[in-house]
Amino acid sequence: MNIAEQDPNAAKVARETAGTDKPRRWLGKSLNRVEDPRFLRGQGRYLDDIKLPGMLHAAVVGSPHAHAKIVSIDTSKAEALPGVVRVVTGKDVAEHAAPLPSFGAGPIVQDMIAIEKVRHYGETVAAVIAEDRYIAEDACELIEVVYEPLPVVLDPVAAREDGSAFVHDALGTNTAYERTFTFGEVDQAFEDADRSITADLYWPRSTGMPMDTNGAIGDYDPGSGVVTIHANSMNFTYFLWLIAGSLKIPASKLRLVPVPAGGSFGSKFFMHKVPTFAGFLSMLVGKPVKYVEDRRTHITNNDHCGSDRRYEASLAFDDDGEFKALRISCIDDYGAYLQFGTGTHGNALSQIVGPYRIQHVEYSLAAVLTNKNQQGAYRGFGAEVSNWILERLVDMAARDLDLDRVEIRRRNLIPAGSFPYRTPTGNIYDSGNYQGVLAKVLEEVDYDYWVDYREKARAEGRHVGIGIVASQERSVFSSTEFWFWFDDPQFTPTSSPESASVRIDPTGEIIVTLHSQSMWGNSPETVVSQVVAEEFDVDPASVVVNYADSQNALPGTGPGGSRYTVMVSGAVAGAASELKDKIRRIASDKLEVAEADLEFRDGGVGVVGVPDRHLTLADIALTAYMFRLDLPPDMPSGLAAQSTYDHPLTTLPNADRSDLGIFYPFVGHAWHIAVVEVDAETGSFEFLRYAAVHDAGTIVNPRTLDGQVIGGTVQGLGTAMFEEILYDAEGRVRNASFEHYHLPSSMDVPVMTVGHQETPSPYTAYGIKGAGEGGRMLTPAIMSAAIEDALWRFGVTVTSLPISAEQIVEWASSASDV
Amino acid sequence: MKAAPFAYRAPETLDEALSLLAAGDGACVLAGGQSLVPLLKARVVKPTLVVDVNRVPGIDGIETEANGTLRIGALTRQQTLLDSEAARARQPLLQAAGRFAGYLATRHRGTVGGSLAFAAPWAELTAAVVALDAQLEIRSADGERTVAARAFFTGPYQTVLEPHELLTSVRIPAAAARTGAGFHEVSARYRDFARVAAGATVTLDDAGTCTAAELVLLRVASTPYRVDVSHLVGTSIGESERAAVVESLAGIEPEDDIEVSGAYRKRVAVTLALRALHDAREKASVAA
Amino acid sequence: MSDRLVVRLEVNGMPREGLAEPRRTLADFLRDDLDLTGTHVACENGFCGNCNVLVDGETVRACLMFAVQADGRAVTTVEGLAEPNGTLGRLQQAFHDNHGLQCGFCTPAMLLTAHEYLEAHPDGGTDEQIRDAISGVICRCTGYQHIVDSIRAAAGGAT
Repeated sequence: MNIAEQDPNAAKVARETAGTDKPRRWLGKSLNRVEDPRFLRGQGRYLDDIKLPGMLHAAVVGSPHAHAKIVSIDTSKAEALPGVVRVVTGKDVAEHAAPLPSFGAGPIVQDMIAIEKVRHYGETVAAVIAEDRYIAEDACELIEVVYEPLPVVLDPVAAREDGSAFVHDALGTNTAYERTFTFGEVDQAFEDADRSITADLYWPRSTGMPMDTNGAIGDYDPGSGVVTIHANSMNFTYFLWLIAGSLKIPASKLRLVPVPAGGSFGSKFFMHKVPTFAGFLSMLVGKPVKYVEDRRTHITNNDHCGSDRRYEASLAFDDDGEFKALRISCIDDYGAYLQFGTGTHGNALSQIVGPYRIQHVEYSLAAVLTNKNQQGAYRGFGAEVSNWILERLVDMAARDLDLDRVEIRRRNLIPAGSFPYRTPTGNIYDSGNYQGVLAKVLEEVDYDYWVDYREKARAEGRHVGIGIVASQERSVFSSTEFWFWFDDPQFTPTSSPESASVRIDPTGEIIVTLHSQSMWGNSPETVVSQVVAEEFDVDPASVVVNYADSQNALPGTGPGGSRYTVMVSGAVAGAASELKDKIRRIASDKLEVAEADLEFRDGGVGVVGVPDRHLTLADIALTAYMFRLDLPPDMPSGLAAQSTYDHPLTTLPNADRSDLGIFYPFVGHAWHIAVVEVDAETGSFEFLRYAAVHDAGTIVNPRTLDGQVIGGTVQGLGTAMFEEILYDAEGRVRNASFEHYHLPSSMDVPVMTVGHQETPSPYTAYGIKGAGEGGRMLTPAIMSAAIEDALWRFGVTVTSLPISAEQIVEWASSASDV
Repeated sequence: MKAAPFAYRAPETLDEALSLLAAGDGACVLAGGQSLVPLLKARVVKPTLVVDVNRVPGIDGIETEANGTLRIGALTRQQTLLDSEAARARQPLLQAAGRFAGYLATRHRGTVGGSLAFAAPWAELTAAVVALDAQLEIRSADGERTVAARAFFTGPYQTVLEPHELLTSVRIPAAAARTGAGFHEVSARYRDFARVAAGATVTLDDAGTCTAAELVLLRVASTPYRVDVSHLVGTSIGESERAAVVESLAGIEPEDDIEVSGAYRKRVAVTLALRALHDAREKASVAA
Repeated sequence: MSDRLVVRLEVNGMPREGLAEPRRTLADFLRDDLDLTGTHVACENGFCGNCNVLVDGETVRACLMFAVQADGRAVTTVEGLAEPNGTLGRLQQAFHDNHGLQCGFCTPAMLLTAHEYLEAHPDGGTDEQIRDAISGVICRCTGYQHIVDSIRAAAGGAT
């Protein structure tokens, strides 16, 4: 691997923050989160908690049809209702706004209110702005919409056939994108291999389902022409200009204010529709307007469902269990629009071979449009799906060979010492020790004990099963993955930076400003506090962290793809490095020692080995701000630095896309083991043991990392066993509430042990790798494996999710009926 | 998701409540609200008048009559029933079933009478009152009547209750000595609405022979389904009951719904029925 | 719109008063009329429990109770759990020490539910009992494990 490809600034940061013999004082400690107290007191100030003077409230009318022409809308009765300020329809959008942003190709246009036709159940057809939400909802009932129903496109396979209705007539097909990528000599490898297995697999449509729905307050100031939007969206600096485009205003007239979100899990990643909508409504009435999705609207109109994929997948392998080649073909049901293009498959391609030495890969994708909610992001962004596919194939191969499921994996693991490792797609794995993680998880659970336990239980007629699976956890996406799909992309960005401003005020307080998000369940303030504490050796609780609004923001991309901890740490470390240089120069003057003899200690700077020769940051800051004539002549006043940290290691794809370049290189690794017992008569199950071991590089805060692992695991459990968005034959969502969309409760989840191994990345600040999605990448695979193992006597193979209780009973009963 | 406007009265006497209900169409009774309020917010139910009976005195609480019969006021909170020593002592199925009903926070508000009058097909207490041959006392401005629980439910969300009537109490005869209860249920997640449920009581004599048994299933028919288990009387209830239970369900065809098929319900109902009977027998055998 | 009725109640030990249409939920009344936005509404139908508050010391779904029904009652919200100077109460501190929250949205309801549980089980009971007690409050972030740890840690003293 040519290290020269690394971003020079990031390389400097990596060098300066690399581990030394001196133990780190603050990184790696399970410190309490600095974000917590305000949330514990109920003072989190989520979007719906904010009240602006004169604020109005909006509610929406969602389409009762999945596909229909809008013939007419009569708003007169609604407008006559006292308290109603304005009724808004697609006509207003057509007159005053532009379509919503999209990364998808082709003439697929989405508007914030449907204009001529609706393309999915629940799509907004009208909105009411009123004095309060109750009145707005009263008025929504009075709006009379006449629809002309159109043939509904629901089955993505049928949607590709001649004669199907089109979701977007202008596209002339429902297949928005279709391509086969070939990496290596796939056909030859399949031919040469001793064996292969092929499976049809189905991954269901589920969604992140945060407790806090998407919401925004638009606040148009007619005097300045500035539209201020408070929103619980992530990533706002990255796409601000796109929202401005939809509102037809200059980006300089748009100010986004980040607001804490009660969970995202992807559902607020690049969330643009709701903020744009609120801004638009506010511009129409010249007053602040709040719009918060209710739960029903969140489920039927959130644009952020997870993947919905049908696969045919094959693995070629030899009799000794060595994997040779992988062939994957996917029809992905994207729903009615294509806001992120096919980026979720880029994620898959970043770690498509998992931790295994597979040299040849073919990947075919057909992105199909149907009359369902649009797909968005969901924790894992497609990599959780591909990991399920791969681990399913591996379990099937083990069974085919009658080889132990641990052993077949062990034989194929990429050896320690081969990093950075280039995968067939061109993405690299920066570092790793997969054998170490495996050894640790086997030791953690006493695997042999549970194998023995399972055998005894089986002898008693009980259905006990063990699942053991591995996963990669890619982190820190490069924006090349948004366009490398296309031969001739119109827009080819390569930046995905993150920034931080660090200043020390005249009293010595350290204040850090972040530039792309607010808190949403992650721990940005804690991470930053620990990094600052590490650099300056101050009490992390003393560090002040705040968030810039978009008008004051430096370049940033925001959380997503497990990038934020890595990137913000790099940005803060870069700014800290600059500040520390300045502090050293001042201190060197004041203490009359060489800079090389100084160290940061005890909240200030001191002479190495001389305990009483020490200046506090306040001493230095006061000089820096107030005593210009005491500073070196070339040094300006103040103690402030800002740093923009670019993706440390990314390269361009090649022209024919046989090499996608490096786009997701900091790769963690994990193993989970689950032992379950299934009640084959009712289909219910319980956990007897669950253990996870993760390697996310250098750990910033073990306890918050555990929290991410456990939370992600439980979300993956939901996908595996409980959750699915269901449509009826007319394309209506059948479970638009929590009555039938089942989120795991405290009684449905495993009690886990979580272990860690630390293999630092050589490329990132401190060697940190992202770790926000790992848990969810494993649970679907492990539940499939464990349930299948528990039902071994029935010869079951799990090929679709969620694994329902009814399915389990059916398997068990049809076998016993035989 | 806000309810449509409605007029609201919170009468402080039973007569006032009954006269409000008698006054006209479009009134509905609000008790615990755990089932009604979601329907109001979805605007599926749009009453002109909501009669909140929570301040009506005399229709809550659990009393034991001289002959041991339990008299449970309709406004008794579900959690009060679960905490009741009298209920525990007199009729164990009530608590065995009731503990599956929702969560502590919904049981603090949800009422016994509300659960019966709403008659959701998954409501555990409907199975219990049918199994226990409860008598339901109903009042209206015209007078009062008593309806057997076994005649009260007419379909999912349907009962013999007229719009102007109010269910005021439930009378449940005390169990004989050495009676045990069992209740089993499956749901999508812990304490979600039942997909299938079975409740049973078994009474044994000193020799361990069954003298009485009841078995009621939920969600296999349009109302709580009482399975004839009279053949168990005189036996010691062994493990060989599967065939009899299967046979007694032969004629029913449970419906499919969004979550599970009728076939699943029917199959699992047999399992749960046997487990409920088994538990009931075990409890009876250790009862004083 | 129907007539608004006077609602007088005690919230966190203080007498409060407001006007509410009968259809106004207790959750909306607390949040919008009394500015106590620590009570959060997530599913609006009683399934998720994120709006749990204490009424006369017992948890209820504030989204399934109308404000007019709380007339004359004593309500405790999350805002009533900390010391007046903002110092975290023992239970809140236990959540802080054990990472019992991530996004914090369900946290007020979790705290109040745990508060009620610990009143009944001062010794903390078993983990199974704790899990059962909080099973009616959905948390999408934590997987519950650190919440259970927090409640166990808080046991044994005033919350």
